Amino acid sequence: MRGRAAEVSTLLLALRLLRREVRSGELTLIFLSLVLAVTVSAGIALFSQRLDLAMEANANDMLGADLRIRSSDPLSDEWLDTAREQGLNTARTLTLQSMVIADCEMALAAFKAVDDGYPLRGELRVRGVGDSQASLQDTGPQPGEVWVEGRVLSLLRLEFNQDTQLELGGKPYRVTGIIEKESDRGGNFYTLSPRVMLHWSELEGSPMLGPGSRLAYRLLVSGDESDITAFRDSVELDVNQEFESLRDGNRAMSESVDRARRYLGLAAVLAVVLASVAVAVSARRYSERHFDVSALMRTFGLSRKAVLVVFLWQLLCIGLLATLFGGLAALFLQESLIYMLSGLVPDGLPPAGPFAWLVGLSAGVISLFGFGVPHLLPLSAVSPLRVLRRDITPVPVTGWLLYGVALVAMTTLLWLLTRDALMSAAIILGGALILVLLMALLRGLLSLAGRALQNRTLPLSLRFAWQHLSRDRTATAGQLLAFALTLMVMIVTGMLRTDLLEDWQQSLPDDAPNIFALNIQPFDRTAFLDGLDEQGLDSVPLYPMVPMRLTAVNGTTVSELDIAGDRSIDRDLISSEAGELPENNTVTAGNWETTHKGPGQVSVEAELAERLGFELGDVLTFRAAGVNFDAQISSLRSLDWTSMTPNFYMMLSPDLLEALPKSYMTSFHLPGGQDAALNQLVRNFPGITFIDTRYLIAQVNTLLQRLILAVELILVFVLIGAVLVMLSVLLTSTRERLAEGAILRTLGASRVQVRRAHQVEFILLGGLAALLALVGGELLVAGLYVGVLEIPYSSLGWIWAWLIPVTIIGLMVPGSMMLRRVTSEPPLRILRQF
Amino acid sequence: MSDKSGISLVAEQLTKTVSSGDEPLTILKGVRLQIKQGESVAITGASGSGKSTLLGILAGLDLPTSGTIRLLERELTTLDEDQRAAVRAEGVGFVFQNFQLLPGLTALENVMLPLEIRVRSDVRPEIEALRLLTAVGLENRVHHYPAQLSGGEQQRVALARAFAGQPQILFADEPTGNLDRTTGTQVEDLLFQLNEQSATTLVLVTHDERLAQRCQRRLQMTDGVLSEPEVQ
Repeated sequence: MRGRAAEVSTLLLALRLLRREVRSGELTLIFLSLVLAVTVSAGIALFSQRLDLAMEANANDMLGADLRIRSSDPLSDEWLDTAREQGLNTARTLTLQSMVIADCEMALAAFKAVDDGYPLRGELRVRGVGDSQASLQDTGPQPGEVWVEGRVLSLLRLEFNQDTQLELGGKPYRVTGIIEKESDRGGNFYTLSPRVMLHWSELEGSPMLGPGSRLAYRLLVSGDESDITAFRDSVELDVNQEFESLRDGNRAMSESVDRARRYLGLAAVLAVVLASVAVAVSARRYSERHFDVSALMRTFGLSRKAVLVVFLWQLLCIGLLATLFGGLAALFLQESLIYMLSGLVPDGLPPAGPFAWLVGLSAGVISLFGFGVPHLLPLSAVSPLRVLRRDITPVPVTGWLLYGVALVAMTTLLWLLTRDALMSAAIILGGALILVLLMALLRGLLSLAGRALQNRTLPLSLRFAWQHLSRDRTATAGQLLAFALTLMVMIVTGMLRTDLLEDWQQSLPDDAPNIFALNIQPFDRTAFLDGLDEQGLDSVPLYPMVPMRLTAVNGTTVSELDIAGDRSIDRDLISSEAGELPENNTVTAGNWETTHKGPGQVSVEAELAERLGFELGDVLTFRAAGVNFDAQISSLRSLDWTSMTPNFYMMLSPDLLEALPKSYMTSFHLPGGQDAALNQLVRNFPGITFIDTRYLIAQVNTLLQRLILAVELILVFVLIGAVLVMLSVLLTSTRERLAEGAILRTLGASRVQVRRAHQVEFILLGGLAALLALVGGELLVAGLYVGVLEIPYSSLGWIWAWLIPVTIIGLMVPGSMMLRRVTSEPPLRILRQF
Repeated sequence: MSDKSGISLVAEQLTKTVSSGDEPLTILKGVRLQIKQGESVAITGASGSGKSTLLGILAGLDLPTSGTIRLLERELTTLDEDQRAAVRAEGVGFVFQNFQLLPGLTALENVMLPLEIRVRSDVRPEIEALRLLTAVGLENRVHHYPAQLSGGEQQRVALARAFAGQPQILFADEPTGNLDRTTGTQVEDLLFQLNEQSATTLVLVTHDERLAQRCQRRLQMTDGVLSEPEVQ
């Protein structure tokens, strides 16, 4: 009983003291740092889990089936019969990109023809004419009718009413419904065209299905799990066919969201790391400032354990309070992220589960125990004799314990935030390496500075400032390291942001081609070129194109090779004839003439060749239009993918393509205001697929802007973390600087002299830290770009010019404010407080 | 709580040796001392004579290298730090030369602190602290922080804190050392007045002869050796 009473009274004492500590502001920085850590980690954990839940929980809804087969050829009736015989429900869909027209307006749309079995799984909600709300559908549109996404109507400037009509493939259709939800739509970052849904029978024999169209036939199957498995086992797929999982269906979206998520996760990790460093620095300061309190409490009769427990309770309460605030802020953060990334992430994400909350909220406590608590341990070891002799300080905790516990906490946090053990290990190891490197650099810099500043002819303020910094080298090194690391984190996240965005957002010249024309049949070639001429449009040459799949390399089928999983293997590679070397193509190996002359030669895009390990002389086997043929690699080309002209992975010598059915493609620039010209072409050539990339580019740009916003939001948190570290480090030394400044003044130094001595100290600190950060940052960026991200190395450039002055000002402004008292208050008043 | 014979503190053959550089340095050399309940004792001596070390050991804040100390019926040298802390909690008060007030706490909160640590069901910390602050004449300064108080006021807060919880024995280390003559005298008056009212044993260390003379007994510390001059 006595034990419990003692515990209760310790808790009560801790709470009472805590109230006073909070009021005195001693714990503010720890609290803010913890709030930051919890906000960022919980925000990202919630966001990620909601995304995962949306992907996984509705996997079948989003797939639209329990099993889905995709094929670039028409689906075999045999499969349909087998599935039905096995008691499974089936549906067929066919998707392609084509233009849709209404009067003078046109738009690129994602067509989807569905048979009577559609939809199988998930929801299709459509609003009819005059309906105020969309209703759940159990079939697709009827022949002669189309359902469209609202965007189609706005692009074509149409109202939705009884008479709304649009034209596709040269035939008029009545619009009878607006699609509000299509759960198997599979939001796609790169194919942003709005949906036009029509009946399966409408596309049979349509000129839109030319041999070069990128068609995707899908067989959707649903039923009992055992029947599905039996069906799956009974089906044999051809090379151009595959079972689709949700991931495949949404690959483009997952990739872009994954990339954004990885970047957000990394930036979040950095924010949490900075917050944790701030916690460590603040906790250390808190601990040192409480040696007297601890000694007094011991003098008043509190045991060692009780003293520690009192402080631990206080910190735990702060941690819990910070977790509460951070949790609330995280709610806003993840909602903001979802709002900013709308269009990239599915709508109506399910709420996150308790696990994500637990993971996210635990960051505060982990950071507190990993980075804060070890610094409190000396508080229990303060001798009560300190009340008589202030010089008695407890034995500090060994570095191994401090760093060891912090390392464990950091690894746990990293793993929780990235869920990637390899990445966590890489960051920890990389971080440790950088730390060692920075320490070595720091030692060099300090000894250089020491030598330079020994000169007695230098101004007093400079010598005084340097003496102050060099007196306690460990503390100075700690401060410099904290500043430099913080600056480095900022530099690297900033550089990554800029370079990743540049990688995503390529700028194009104004007259770059913006319309692609695909699927131009040989018999249409002349007429189409004449048509372009009539409209005054210039095109790049017409390239023949043949979709083909790579089936074997040097006689071994690709499924038996390491490259079997590569994304270029299970899909059609649009290939062309090696006629004239296209503009923007550069031969990097081999000889173009050899490829051009043939026979049996192929030129491969250089990056693809490198990825798949192809070399000159390798023999590739392709399958196109049901025929297998071999080609030997005789040249490699590098391409400019951003040129907006037709680009091909494979270009084969003319003899190989001679016998194959082929269509042609080209691209041209449509100047603004000449939509009518395109309109005319679309009407005249209903079989040709026009891809208007203007809308696409605009859409991609909109989404990129959102992505930038989301990334910048997280960067704001990194910045807050950096400010917290800076402030906590500055505060650590403020007390000492105040006392010294006051002593200087009592010795007769003027306010200006004292102020200048402090300013010089901040200039030295800021300059050295920034220099350290620049050297370290340059190395880190080089390592990251070349080693990890595989993007060309770019130097920190202008950062070299501005980082040093900005850091100095960044330190001097808050530092001078903290030290204002030295010059604004009588020195005696300041000294009496020490 | 004092010995049946009325003895508060007994020290036998106390020595304290610390290592200073290569040579061990003996600060206390066989100190013997006996203090009765309610007695006031001054230990005087030059700076560095070892009087503060002796005070720390007598109060159980530190241990001697050899010898024994019996404080409030407990043999301190057989106790560990936490057990000695418990003895202090039961009946020891302190006044320090540099006041040792916590800067983040108000005068009232500083006085409440030992009461909150000792937790007694019959004492309400806030009321008791207010009573003590009124007794030292600071009833109008209870919500002031140490930095807002003069040196004399700060030491009066420290006095109020020392008497909080009615200690059996009070140790004072140069209690007026940081104060001017007039303020020092006022604080002394208060100290002896409170001491008399609560019949507390008082052990104070000072180099101020005038303060020492106000105590019932005076002990002289010279180079680690304690002696009791003949009462004149």
